[in-house]
Amino acid sequence: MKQTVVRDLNEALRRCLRADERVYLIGEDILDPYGGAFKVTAGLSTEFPERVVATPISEAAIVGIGVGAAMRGLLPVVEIMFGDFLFLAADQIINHASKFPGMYNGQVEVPLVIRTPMGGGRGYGPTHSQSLEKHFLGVPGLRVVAPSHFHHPGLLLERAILYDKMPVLFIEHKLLYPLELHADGFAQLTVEQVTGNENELYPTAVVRNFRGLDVTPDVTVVTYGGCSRLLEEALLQLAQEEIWVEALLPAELSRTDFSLIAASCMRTRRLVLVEEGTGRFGWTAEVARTIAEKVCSRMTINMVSIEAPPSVVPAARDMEREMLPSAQDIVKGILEVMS
Amino acid sequence: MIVIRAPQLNVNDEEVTLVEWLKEDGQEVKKGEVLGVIETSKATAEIEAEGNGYFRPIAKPGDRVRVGAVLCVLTDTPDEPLDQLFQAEVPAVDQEWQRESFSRRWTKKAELLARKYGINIEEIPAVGVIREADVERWAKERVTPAKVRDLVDDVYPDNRATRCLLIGGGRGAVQVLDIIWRTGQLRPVGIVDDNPRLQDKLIMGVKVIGTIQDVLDLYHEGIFDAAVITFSNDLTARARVFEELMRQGVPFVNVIDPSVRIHSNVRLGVGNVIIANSRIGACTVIGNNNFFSAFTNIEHHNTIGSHCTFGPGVMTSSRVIIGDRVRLGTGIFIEPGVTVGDESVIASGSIITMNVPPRSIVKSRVTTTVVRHRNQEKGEV
Repeated sequence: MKQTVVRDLNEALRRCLRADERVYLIGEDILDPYGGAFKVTAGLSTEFPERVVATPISEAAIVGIGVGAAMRGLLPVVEIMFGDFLFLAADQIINHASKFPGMYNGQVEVPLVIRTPMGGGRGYGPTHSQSLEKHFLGVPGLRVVAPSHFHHPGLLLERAILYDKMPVLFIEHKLLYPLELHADGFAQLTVEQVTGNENELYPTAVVRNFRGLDVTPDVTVVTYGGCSRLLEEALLQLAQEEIWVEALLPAELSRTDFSLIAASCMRTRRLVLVEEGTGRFGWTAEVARTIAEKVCSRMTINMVSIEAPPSVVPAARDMEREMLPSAQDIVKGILEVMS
Repeated sequence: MIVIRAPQLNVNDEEVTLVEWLKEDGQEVKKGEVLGVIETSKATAEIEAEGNGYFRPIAKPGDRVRVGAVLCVLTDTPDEPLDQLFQAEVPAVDQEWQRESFSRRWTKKAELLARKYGINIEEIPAVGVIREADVERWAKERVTPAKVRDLVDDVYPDNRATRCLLIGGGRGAVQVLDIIWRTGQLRPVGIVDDNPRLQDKLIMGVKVIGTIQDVLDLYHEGIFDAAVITFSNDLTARARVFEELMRQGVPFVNVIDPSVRIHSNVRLGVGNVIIANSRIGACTVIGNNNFFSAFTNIEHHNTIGSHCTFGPGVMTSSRVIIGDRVRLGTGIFIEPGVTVGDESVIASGSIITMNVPPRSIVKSRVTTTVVRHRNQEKGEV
């Protein structure tokens, strides 16, 4: 059977629970038979009844328990059912989990993983469809990781749980769950997992739509997480049009390897930035700022950004579709920087 | 015929997996009978016959079927032909795009490239879809002239006038051609310019025969002996074009107005353009690929770098050093011994009295101040 993102994450959690008895899963409705709202924890409470723990509805308490457990030597993984509810635990994340190692001069570690689904496209309405990870970027001491279906999401989760000593906010786009993994490429798309000096655990997926062709890319696209599904459609379509694209999807948003992005757009001189959230003051804005500093002082880069308008996500599917970036928006953006 | 589609049982699912069919292909079924089992991300579910008919499966066990796509149909007879539509129901790519791409017979890349070259893509002969390579080939064929054998030059090649190619077809080319036509020492054989609208046009009798990309080919085809760059608006491009072509062995020639006075012991590089009434003082060293406008006065013992442009009326004093890729405006005075660093820009009307570090943008003005009244000097009231 084909490997899907949700199964990959589920298997990674199972591996971690088997590998290290310090690993605990904590969250709402994660026990069998329900197995979590998106089934990421399905089957795990049956195998590890002691270490998969259901909680009442209190995000602050869930993360708070996780912070305490992590400081006392466990490797807790907490699930926030919808990323939109992260703000109920914002104090625990911003003022506790990420601060303690610095406040206590490195004498404590908080190896906590907070998993949460983000993103729209399901008609869940304004408070269950947002991409709010940008509000947690720029918090010192907090790692924000967002895999795509061009990554190995399970592998990244395993590294976050077992090997990362920092608190990690692990963003899973809901529409990725049922998708097949394309971490090793798909049709004309090749995928390369590039690890930089700063991102040993969380590589950047470099996706190119010219498998086997001796061409140079025309455009650089930078995006992350759930936008990978839009990117795939756009890149396959543009390959028919001889528009060669090099897309970079850093898995880690909090400490992105900008040198890769800079090198790519110095070659193409064209950059399309894509994110599903409202764009202003977001991650792509940070990428644009860095490229402006590092690259635009030396050469002109034709740049376009694609993002949701600053508005609430509608519950009506048609209106939601109109608001959130689509594959055709990416195609249009790419043709715009080409023209 | 009854069409049974993959149901949306769970709002999160875009696809369901067909686990198994419980009926044989062509088997008669009654309304409400269980036909097969599907699996969503949350549960398995049975697929029921929505009416009576003969079971005809479309999806195969193990298939992931998009919600709304056809799982099976119930036909009125056991062997009636199935609509081809059901056999090939695949997730649709964007419909609007498909319509648009079916209506054109070239790729987007070809379209963008043709627009860049100013070519009407409809005119390009090609079998099937017009691709990038077809546009490139067409553009090249259109602008590259066939080599014409010259009845005199090719028989008596010695001491013939230097055949000169002008790079850039703007107003700089007009100034350079004005010099060439009045001196007669060079023979202009063509102009190259990246502007597609200039292709095949005549400028003071000289034809635009290609783009900057074509220079090397034109040289190898023996169309010209030496080149000169006539544009001065983009110094970076001017320097890049010069250096790339020099590296590839294309010779450059100086174009100097007959009214220019060059004094003793001047050392001059190649590719320089010196416009009317300029003067180069003794023992001055000048690099390559500079553009000196009218009335430039370079004094003695100066050192001028390469790829610089001088506006009309720039006056240097003795021992001035000017770096590479320096842009000087109109009417500038530079005091003795001053150094102007690489890639600096000096505004028109500036009076430079001190050294200018590299990459500076300088604007200097002398304000008028009455130092002392002459009447007071003479003791008058």
